[in-house]
Amino acid sequence: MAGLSIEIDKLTNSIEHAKSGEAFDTRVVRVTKAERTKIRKKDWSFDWRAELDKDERHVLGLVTVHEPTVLQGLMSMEDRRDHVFLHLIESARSNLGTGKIYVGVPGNLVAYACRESLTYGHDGVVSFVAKTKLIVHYQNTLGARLLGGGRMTIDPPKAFELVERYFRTA
Amino acid sequence: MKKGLALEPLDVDLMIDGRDMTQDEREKLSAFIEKNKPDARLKKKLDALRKRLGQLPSAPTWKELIAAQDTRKDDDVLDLEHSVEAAISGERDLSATDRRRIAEKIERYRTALDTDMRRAKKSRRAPLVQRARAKVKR
Repeated sequence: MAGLSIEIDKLTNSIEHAKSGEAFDTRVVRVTKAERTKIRKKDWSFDWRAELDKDERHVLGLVTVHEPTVLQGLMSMEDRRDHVFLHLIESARSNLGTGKIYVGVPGNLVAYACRESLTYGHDGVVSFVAKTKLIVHYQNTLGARLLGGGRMTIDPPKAFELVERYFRTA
Repeated sequence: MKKGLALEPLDVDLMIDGRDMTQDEREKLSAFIEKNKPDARLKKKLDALRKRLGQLPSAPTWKELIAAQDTRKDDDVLDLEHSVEAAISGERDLSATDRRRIAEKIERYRTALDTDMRRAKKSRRAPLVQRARAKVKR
């Protein structure tokens, strides 16, 4: 039963090797305080150790199934009364710029946040404060709505699409 | 079917501002969420999806996943080794499935090696670039 559950839980064609175009199955993992030493500061732009110290926030990482010890991206989120708030999202350095190894890391993490919002009973609503230059980008790619002041929200219809797109649930 | 590609442009360096919402902003957001509640049809679809998701295990901790993967990998590799040994000793030939699994493993290792090499190359290059920049500044 557990084996079957693991099989259907995986993300669909979630990240791709930039060079070969091969799709790799991924898993989202909870990163705990006990693992804080494994997150080397020099590998990340944000202070993820500080995020781990904040009890109300959940730090989640994305790994590929064949290379589970390597974090491809990290996300910090918080369950708030009626939505999930994304504090930070970051791709690993190796997945940035022109020489990136994998493409598609942040999309996976955002979809997972929508999934969490759905399971918390918030209808998939996810909110975050976007960088100004990326607002239009998120409107186009995620279908996020701008509420002013850089505050954006992914509303239920879009969240539904994202979760259906990224998770094989049936 | 490359589902993940639809969001590929999200691969930007830093996605989020990094600041939290103020209390006022939070209240405005709550009002917005309340006003934009899904209609009955969507609510039904969302509930069905939540039910399906609820049957799936939640995300394991990183440590748990690594431990589970190690065990699975060991069994898998051992199984394949037995098949290869049997083929070498002439006991039996490799099945089509064995051949496919070996080819997959080679491909995986090749990709992993490529990944490691690129990572190593990047980490070697970084200090050099920093030193060069420092020199220019001086």
